[in-house]
Amino acid sequence: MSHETEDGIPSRVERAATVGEVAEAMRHAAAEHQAVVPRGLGTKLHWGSPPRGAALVLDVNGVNDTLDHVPDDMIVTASAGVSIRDLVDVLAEHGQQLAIDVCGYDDGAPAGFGTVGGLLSTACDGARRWGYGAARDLLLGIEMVRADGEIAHAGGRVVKNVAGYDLGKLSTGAYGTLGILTQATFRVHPLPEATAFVVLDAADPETACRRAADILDSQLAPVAVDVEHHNGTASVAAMFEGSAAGVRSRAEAAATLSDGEVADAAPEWFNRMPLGPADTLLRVALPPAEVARLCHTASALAEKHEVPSGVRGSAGTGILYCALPRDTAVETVAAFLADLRQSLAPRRESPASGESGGARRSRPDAAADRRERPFGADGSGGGSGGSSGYITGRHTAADQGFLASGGNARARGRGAAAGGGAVTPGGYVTVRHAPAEVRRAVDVWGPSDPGARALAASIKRQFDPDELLSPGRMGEEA
Amino acid sequence: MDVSRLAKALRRVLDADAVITDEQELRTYACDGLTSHAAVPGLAVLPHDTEQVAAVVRLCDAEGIPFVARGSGTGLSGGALPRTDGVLIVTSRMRRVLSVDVDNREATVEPGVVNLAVTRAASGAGFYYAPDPSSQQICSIGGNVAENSGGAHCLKYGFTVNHVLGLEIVTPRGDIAHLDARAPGYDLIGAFVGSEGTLGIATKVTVRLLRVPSKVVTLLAAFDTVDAAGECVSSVIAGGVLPAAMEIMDAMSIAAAEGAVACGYPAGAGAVLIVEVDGPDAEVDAQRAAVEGLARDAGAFEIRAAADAAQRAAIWKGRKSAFAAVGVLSPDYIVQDGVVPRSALPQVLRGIQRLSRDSGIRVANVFHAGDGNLHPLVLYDSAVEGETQRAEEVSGAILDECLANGGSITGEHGVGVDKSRYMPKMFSETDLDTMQLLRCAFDPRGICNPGKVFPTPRLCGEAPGKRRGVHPEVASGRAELF
Repeated sequence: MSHETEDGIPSRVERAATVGEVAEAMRHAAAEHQAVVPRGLGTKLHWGSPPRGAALVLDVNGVNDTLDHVPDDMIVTASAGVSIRDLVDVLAEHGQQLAIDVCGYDDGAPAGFGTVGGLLSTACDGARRWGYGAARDLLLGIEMVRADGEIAHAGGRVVKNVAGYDLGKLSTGAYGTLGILTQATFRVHPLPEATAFVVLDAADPETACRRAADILDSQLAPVAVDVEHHNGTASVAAMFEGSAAGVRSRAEAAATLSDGEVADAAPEWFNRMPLGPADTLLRVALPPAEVARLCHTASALAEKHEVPSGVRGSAGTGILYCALPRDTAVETVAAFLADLRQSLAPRRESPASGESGGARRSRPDAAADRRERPFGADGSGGGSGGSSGYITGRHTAADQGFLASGGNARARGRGAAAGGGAVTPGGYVTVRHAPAEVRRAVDVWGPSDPGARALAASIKRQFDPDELLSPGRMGEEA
Repeated sequence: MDVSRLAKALRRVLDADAVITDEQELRTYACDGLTSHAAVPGLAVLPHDTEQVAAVVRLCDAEGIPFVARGSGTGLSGGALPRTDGVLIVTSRMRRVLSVDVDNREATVEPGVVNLAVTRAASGAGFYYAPDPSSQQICSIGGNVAENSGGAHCLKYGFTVNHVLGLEIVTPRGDIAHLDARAPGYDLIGAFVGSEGTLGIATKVTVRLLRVPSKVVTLLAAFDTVDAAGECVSSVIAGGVLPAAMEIMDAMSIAAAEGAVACGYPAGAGAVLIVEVDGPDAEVDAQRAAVEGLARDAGAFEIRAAADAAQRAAIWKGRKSAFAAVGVLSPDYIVQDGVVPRSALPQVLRGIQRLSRDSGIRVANVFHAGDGNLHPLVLYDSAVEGETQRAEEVSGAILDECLANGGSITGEHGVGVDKSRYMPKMFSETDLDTMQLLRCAFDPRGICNPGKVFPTPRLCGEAPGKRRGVHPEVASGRAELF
């Protein structure tokens, strides 16, 4: 029925230049039962799982009629097709910025520079997420076209607003599977008067992470603290923004307490994704106290699977990346991914047993519950069976990754979790992008809580009951 | 099924004293902070853990009985207004701080934990929990999650949703789900926080902890007029300064605060502006100098600076007492909560003055000027014939004024029962219908805090946007329209 390429992206392209045309195109697609993949500049079409059975690409790059910056209110409203470059330029004319980093790559590709719609749909961000929050934190309101072609709004154009459900946050990072974003309003920030960096190299990841934590836990208010572990060297780069005098003194104080040096520019690796857009990029999200462990794990796995080693990302948010070259064998990528997921799964003393959290309607044992999960299962990688080690089943407070604190890592504060033994918090690994054959072979999104997956599946069914919007791209099953 | 018949089943899953059926006791839960709406719950339960909450919800689900969650009951939009035909699930026995994990800069608490208790638990390590609603000494974290609470400092630090890293929830079907900000998939935390208790009940909340700033300076600037104070706010923003808080009080609210707590604000002020800047010392010093200069330029006739906690508390005392203090001026009052783009503040304030003059209803103004969040206090005397109605008309007209200027009907108090009728003024039918798709995904039977947020419920299971005839669940008597 379609002429899709291996990455699930159909070759047939229709263009829409207004929200009305997007709505019309979706009404038509709904009538014809044709699934659609929305596209802006097309810089991130290879992100996420390959869509399944899509008939056409709906190019919304032409929906760019609105770019309304209100400097006094520190907001900007932009059509989904407005390019990030144009947005940055317009804001800068009034000394303001959208504080979301759009990262380039080691190989020089500026691939992140797509559109407003693409930025939101993929929940893109970078180093300064630590200081400013993620894209969803800066988003105030949206306009979207639903699967049935109706145009809907949520949020508003004011910086403070709690009226109605926040469909903007729900749509951020939804890869266009719940609706097609056509406009967004963001909170913007003043461009800083000055910027400075503190950089240092350390002998090992523990030292680097300890120094990063010293800066993060200081009162010097860094906007970003990133680490890199590569070829046996562990490095830290902290970024400061503010007034000319203030930034200098803060950076100097941070350099003193971390044994680093003040620099005017960031190191090459800072705020860049490793390798290039055509390689396999793994995104790891884990409790920040686990970053040093991740560095060691990644090194060991690189050695085991004979692939290049390296981890970089935010020591504050615990979002880091590692990459595998595009010519790495699919089986190697799958094995590396499975091992990495296994190593980052929350660990506890005894395995789960008994009924799942949603006991009434779930299978009687945790393994069956996993097979049943609607999202993320493709039978490979760390997701299926018991290989992921992800905790399912009936939980107590301390069982859960995000809830667990345990007595791990540096015992500084009061770190005892109530209700259970020591648990090492878990992390998640997703394949942000990869060659098509890799994304078809592995579990791109990876395991997560069965209850959350059930809710996600239910949301998808409500918003897109006929599977017209990039079906499968978030890893959901048919 | 009559809700009272649920008591026996509830006593099997809860502690004996955790099921309240006594009419007198139930009356204490009849309203939250919005006392103009009251309803005695059919039953109230006091679960002490997640499993008990889930067990109660499963019973409600099985019998099709509506339920409402309640924390400390400080909400200002009737979001925790009980159902006479339903169960009220009170989280006051779920008050454990489960962990303070300084290494990961997060804390996990049960929903009944009071907002300020999180900061108290973390303060020994030099950390705090940023969202600080005025009621932070009594309001619960669970309620904060439901309402996406802000606070005076949200101008710089954001709202509850910006600080929640994880949630354990009991869904309206009685399932337990763990929502993790780090997990792949849809932003379920972003969808859940601020859903006003209509998508489930949070039973554990993991929040971000921030490092206490090294320096805080609180400035109080007195102006002749509100317009001049507003001018100062605009120039601070235009100057690239992002204070932690910017608050304006007009002459009437100053008078009320003076009468109630003798806050000692500069005499003769037509408006006071409180600006708090915090952060690293060098930045705070620079920002303080900038703000003082801009305040003088805008016509401030007196500027005070608090550099320590005691002086700061003295400045905040008047502001924080303002809502309660208007009781000195008036036997009854409505606390309104509207938002306008900051640049529209002068225009909207003039509109409010006009409404007040035309109606003879006094309006005192207190507002979070930095983010355009107005809290007009509409004063009236219910003993005076017709005055209640006129006050409500003025209060509603203020929201119209906010919407006409591109704002919102609520900045932080929520929609609840109080403002659901205004939702169609802000959102189209399609907008509301689309939001309710989310509700259907979580709560297909419509039993979780029904009657809140949306003026009309959506029956679930239909194709989006199209309503056809009578829903089969209604026709069969298995569901009813609330």
